[in-house]
Amino acid sequence: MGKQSGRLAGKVAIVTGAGCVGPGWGNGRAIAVRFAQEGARVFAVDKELTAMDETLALIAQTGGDVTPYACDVTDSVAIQKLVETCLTQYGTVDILVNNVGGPSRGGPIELSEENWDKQIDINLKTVFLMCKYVMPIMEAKGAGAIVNISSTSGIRFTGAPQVGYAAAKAGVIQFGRVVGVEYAKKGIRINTVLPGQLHTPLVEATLAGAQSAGDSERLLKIRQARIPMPFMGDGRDTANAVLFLASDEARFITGTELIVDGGMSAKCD
Amino acid sequence: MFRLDGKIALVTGCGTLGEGWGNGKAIAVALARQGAHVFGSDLSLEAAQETQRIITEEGGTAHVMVADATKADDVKKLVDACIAQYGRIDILVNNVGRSEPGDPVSMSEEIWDDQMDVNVKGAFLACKYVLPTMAAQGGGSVISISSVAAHRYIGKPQVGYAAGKAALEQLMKTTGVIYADRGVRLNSVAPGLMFTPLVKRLADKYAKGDFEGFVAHRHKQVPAGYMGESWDVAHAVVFLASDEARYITGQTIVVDGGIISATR
Repeated sequence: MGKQSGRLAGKVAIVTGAGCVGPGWGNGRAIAVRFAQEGARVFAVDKELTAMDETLALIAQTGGDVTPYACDVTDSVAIQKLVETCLTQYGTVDILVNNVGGPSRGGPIELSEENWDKQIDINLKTVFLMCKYVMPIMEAKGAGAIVNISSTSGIRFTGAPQVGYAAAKAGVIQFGRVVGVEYAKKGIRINTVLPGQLHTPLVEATLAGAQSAGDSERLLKIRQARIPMPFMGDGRDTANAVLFLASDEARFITGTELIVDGGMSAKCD
Repeated sequence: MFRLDGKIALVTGCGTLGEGWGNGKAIAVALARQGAHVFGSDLSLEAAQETQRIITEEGGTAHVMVADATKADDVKKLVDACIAQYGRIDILVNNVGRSEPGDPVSMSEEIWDDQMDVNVKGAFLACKYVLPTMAAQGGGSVISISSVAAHRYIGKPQVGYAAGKAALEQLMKTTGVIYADRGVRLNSVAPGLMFTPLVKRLADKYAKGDFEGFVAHRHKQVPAGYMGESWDVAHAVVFLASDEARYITGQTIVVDGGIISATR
C-alpha cells in the first residue's frame, strides 16, 4: 500500500526511465522518489533493473511503495506486457510519466539515418506507444494524468547540434497539445515539462564525452553561462513540476507546457 | 499542496465584488491556507475585508488596505505598509486586471489608456517598489495573473486587454531574466475561461445580459467541456510561489482546460 497521506495518496503511477546513469538526481529517479514520498504507488520502469537500484533504495528509505520493472519502451509487445503487469500488481493506472529519452549529436549531415530513426524512436515514439496502451485504462474510468518530459531543446537551439533530439522533443510538445485537446472531455490531462540544462548525472555520464572531450567541469561552466539563475537545477526541480501537473490541483491544466530552466529560454544570449 | 509557512505575500485585487470566489480572493485564501501571511489590497475595502475575515476565521493572518494599483503613490504606500508590518515580502501576486470591449476603431483612446494602466502598469508599479526589497533579502517570487487572451483571440473583441496581458507576460519574462541573479523569480499564470463572479459582469458587457446563454457558450468553448474555477488559478499561483518552483522563472502556466491548444 502507498502512504495514506500526500498529494498522490493511493494513486498508481507508471514512471518510465526511473533509473539513472550515475549517482545523483536524474529526472526519472527524482520523479519516482518524489511521487513515492507523496503517497503514490510507483510502477518504476527502466531498460535495466540494475539502473534502478539507487531509486529503489531512496524510496525504501521513505517507506514508499514501488515495483521495479525492466522494459524497452520502444517495443510495443513489451509495453503491452508492462501494462498488464502493472494492472495485475496495482489494478489500475492513474498517472503516466514518459521520461525516456536522450540526445544524439549531429546536424542533418553528421547524424546517420539510423541514428535519426533511433532518436525519433526513443524520444517520441516511446511517448506514443506508452499512451497507446495506457490511455484506454484511463479512458475507461474517465480520469488520468499524463506528463511527458520534453526539453528546452524542443523549442530552442541550446548550444550543441542535435537535430534528431530537438525535432523529436518538439514532437513531444505538440503530441501533448493535440492529444490533450482530444481527450479533455474524457478526463485525461496531458502536459509536458521542459527541463533546461539541469545538472543531472547525464552530464558526467555522456554529455561531457560528446560535447567537451570528457571535461565535465568545463561543460558545466559553459552550461551555467547560458542560465540567468546563478545555479544549476537538478532532477528534483523537474520532479516538483511533474508532481504539480500530475496532482488534482492541476485539474484544469491540459495540453500545455511548463518550462523548468532557470530562465534560460527567456533570453537569446 | 506546496507549503508556504511563514512567507509574506502581497496580493493586489484580493477582494471579490459581491458573493463567490474571484481569483484574488481564492489566491489570498489559498496562500494563507499554505501558511503564508497575506497583505492584501483592493479598490473596495469591503471586498478586501471579506477576504480578510475568511482567512482569519480559518486561523490565518491577513492585513488589508485600500489601494489603487494603477497609482504610484497608492502602490508605494501599500508596499511600505506591508514592509512596516512584516519587514519583508516573499511573494507578490499582481492580480489586478479588467477587460473592456472594443477594437482600435470602436475603443476610445481613454479606454485604451485605462486598459494599459489596469492590466500591465499596475504590475510594473508593484515590481518597481517590491523588487528592491526582494533583491535585498535574497529572493522572492512574483506572480502576475494574465489571460489566455494574451495568446489567442478568444471570441470577443478586447484589443486593449489582449495587448495589455501580452505586455504583462513579457514584463514578467524579461524582468525574470534581469533579476535571476538576485534570486527573484517572476512568472505569470494565464487563466482561460473561468466561472467566477466576474462572468455576470462580462455577460452584461458582451452578451447583453444573457447570463445563461453566455455561461453555456463559455462552457462549450473549453475542450474539457467546463470552465475552470478560481481555485485552479490559485493552485498554480501557490506552486509558483513555493520553493519547489525555485528553478522556474520567466514562464507562464496556462490554466485553461486546453482551449488555446485548439483552433476549431
